[in-house]
Formats: sequence, structure tokens, C-alpha cells
Amino acid sequence: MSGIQTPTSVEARSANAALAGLPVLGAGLGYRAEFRADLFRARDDIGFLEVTADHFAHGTPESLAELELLRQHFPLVIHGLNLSLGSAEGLNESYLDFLGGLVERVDPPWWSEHIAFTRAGGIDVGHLAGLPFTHAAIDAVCRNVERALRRIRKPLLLENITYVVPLPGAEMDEAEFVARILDRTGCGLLLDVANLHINAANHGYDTRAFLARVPLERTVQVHFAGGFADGDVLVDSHSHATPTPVWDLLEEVLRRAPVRGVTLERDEDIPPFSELRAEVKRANELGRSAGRW
Amino acid sequence: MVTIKEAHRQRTSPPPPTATSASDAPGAAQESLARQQSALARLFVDSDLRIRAERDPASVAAELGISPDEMQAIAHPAADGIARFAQSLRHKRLSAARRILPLTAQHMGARFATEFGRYAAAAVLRDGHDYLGDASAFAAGLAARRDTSAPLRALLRYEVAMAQMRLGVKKWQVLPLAFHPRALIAWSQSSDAALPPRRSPTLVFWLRYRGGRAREWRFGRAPHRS
Repeated sequence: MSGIQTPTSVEARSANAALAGLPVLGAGLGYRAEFRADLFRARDDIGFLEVTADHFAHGTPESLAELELLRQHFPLVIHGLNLSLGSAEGLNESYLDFLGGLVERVDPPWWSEHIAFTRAGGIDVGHLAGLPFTHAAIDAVCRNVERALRRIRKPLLLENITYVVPLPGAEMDEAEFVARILDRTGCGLLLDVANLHINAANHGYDTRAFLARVPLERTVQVHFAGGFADGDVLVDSHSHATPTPVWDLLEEVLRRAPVRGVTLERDEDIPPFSELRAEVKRANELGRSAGRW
Repeated sequence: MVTIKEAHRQRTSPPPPTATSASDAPGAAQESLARQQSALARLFVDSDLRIRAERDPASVAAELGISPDEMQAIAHPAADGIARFAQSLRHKRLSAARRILPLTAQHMGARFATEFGRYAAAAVLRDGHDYLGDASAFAAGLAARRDTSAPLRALLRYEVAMAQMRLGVKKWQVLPLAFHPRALIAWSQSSDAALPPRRSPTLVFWLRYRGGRAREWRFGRAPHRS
């Protein structure tokens, strides 16, 4: 374990202690305005929506009305992109306030962010960047999670990201890095099985070995999606149908972990909604077969 | 440059001597991590800096406030990854620009991506979420070019103004155009884009009244609907 430990505060413990009591939401979809109209016609097949906080950052009356409409018709969870939990220089307080305000407005059962940094040295990268697998990075994440949970008193899930190249100076591998962060923060896991598949292929490790070493019992939500191959490198683009290896991983995780919700992510080359709906229905069936809902 | 898999093999070797380990003072480890992240952020967004880092790592290290050893540790094994990450960032900026300027993107077709690629390579985006600012700067640069047609120039100005209102950046604005917006929209979606719309000086006025929805009024002669 690390040389320094961030003591888990009462706030963090109480926010995350509720993991076991979180509601089961089933199979859902990452909300994108492009398929809003279709979504309402397919309400019976969509268990919940994951709302990307940043899409509502401008806070115009139109966007807030849209959010309210979604809230009236679907269970919602909030997904942040830019809190930069891995930043050694600390959190972006204005983004934290914005996120806190959104969580208060929507009142979701949980919210989620990434194990990544997006901001450093006055630059907002605008994209999730990987952390070195070091004790110092774990300390930074734990300290920032602590701060975030003092502001937002709802269970927080942390998501594994893809990384194009492991940063130098690693003191452990990815699975140990994720496991240590979850252990110290008490947060739930948002396991992105597409990211797991991509990292395993790009960095030459075994997905089963990874799953054996992360605390699967803390898995609350799962993301799944399809990317593409750029030469011999897989890219996480949320632009294609979910490939077979990702479906297999989803099925395995649903069998082994107390998952409350699975979410299909699609951001580019959005197909006819019937295709997205079919993927969500298939995931719903997998969850049902595994006895999760 | 190394491939992603080679970089992975390099990662498994012991960290360089300058790397701060858990046994060091926690403050020093955090400072080292902050320096590394700051340097990476600069390298991700600044293509000119990446090129210079390959040619002259020592001077770029000094510019980034890191030691030559830290520069070597970051930039050498991760060069391929940094380039890929930067490519992914440019793609994200392009996607955002397409969403903000949909009519222009539709009208220009593949040339939109080419022109945006040229612009993005030269324009460092320090706030990676200021997509409106990014798209506006791209539109302004394109509109200022001599080879940009008058209708495209008007379309760019109209779409930027629309986006500013939609995203709540402005509460009101007035935009004089040489073409009626309806004619511009029809032209942007026409398969015969070589046929320019008829000129019709129009004043477009937007207002978001007391936190309500943004509304648009057009004062000019609209083309006949076909």
C-alpha cells in the first residue's frame, strides 16, 4: 500500500456505504439528443438513461427543460467527464459545483466519473487522459474523491478508461491500480467492459485475470460499446455495434457481479434507433438470465 | 517513435531513477505527478511543441519546467501514444465543430474536415471544452479568406450566431446578412451548391427574454417556398 493514506472521511463513508442498497435499474442507454424522439417511443425497453453532465453545462432554459422532461419519464444517473479526479493539482471547483448542482436537481441514485485526468497546468485537455499506475496517482485520486464526496453526498462510481500507452514509472499494473483506488475510497465500480476489452488487446493482458483482481463485488454499473481497429490498435470510439468479445465480457460480469445497471454508449455514427434498442434489449436479457433483475 | 506494444514492454522495466516512488516524501511525489501531467497536457494539445520535443527535448523540457530525465521518461516511450491521443483530440474537436456548424459541414462535405484539420493543427485549444469558441474561431478564419464565397461567409456567421444563442452565451444579438437565412439553409442543403442563393439583405434579430427560450426574427425578403 501507499506510503501515505488518505483517511476516508465520514462523508465519503456515508456516501458510499449505501452501495448495497442501490436500486436495480436494468439495461439503459447513454442519452444523446440525436435520438430523443425515438427514445420516448421505446420507453418500455429502456430501463434508465445515463445523462452526461457536460451536455447540460450551458444550463439554458431549453436544456434544463429537456433534463426535466427526461427525469419525468426515465430513471436518470449522472455521468461526469471533466472533474479530473486524477489531477495532482486538485479538483476544478467550479466544475464540482456545477456537477453538485446537477446531482441535486436530478437526484439520481448514484453518479459517476473516470479514473483519469483532463486538466493540468491551466490546460483543459478535453479528453480523458490516463494516469501512471503509481502510488502518487492513487493518492491524488483518493484526495480528490474525498473532496468531491464532501460536496456531492451521493454514491460515486469510478470508471476504468482506455489508455493508448502506459505512462512510465508504473509501480503496479492496471488491475491493482483500480483495486487499490476502490479499496481506499470505498467507491463503487463502473466497469466499462469495452474499455477492458480494448486495453487487454492493446496492452496484451488477459481480461479474466483483470476481473479476478478487481473487487467485482463493488460493481454497480457496466458500460458497453463498440469501437474500431486502427491497424493493430483498438480505439474506444463508441461508434460501432458492440462486438462479440464485449458481449461475452458483459455476460460474464453480469454473472459474477451484483450489477444494478448496464448502459450502452454510442456517440458517433449513430445508427437507426432500432439498432440501439436491439442492443439494449439483448443486454436486458443477459441481465435477466443472470438473475440480476 | 515506438509502437503501443513496445511501449508496454518498456513500461514493465524498472522506472527511471528520477521517478518519484512511494518512499519519497508524499509532497514531492505529488509535485512530480503535477509536473508530469502539466507537461503531458501541453504535449497533447500543442502539435508544434510535440515536433520540437522530438527535435530538441532538452529545450522543451526547460520550457515545460521538467528535467531532461523526466522529459525522456515522458516523451520517448510515450511519443506514439501522445501522438495518438492528440489525433483523438483533433477528431473530437472536428465532431464538435460539425455539431455546431451543421449546415456548413453539410454544404462543404469532405472539405470541412480538411479545412478544420488545417485550422486545428495551428490553433492550440487550452480549454478543451470550449467547443463553441473553437468552432467560432474556425468559422471566423474561413469567413475571412478571399476564396470563401459570399453565401458561405454569411452561412458561417449565421450558424455561429445561432449556436451562441442556443447555448446561452448571448441573451440577444443582431446580425445583418446579405442573404435571407431561409435561402442560405436551402442553398446549404442543395445538391446544386454551385448555384448561389439570390441576394436579399436581411437583418436577423435574436432575443432570449427573461430566461425563456431564444427566439429569432428575420427582417428581409424571404425567397418563395418551392
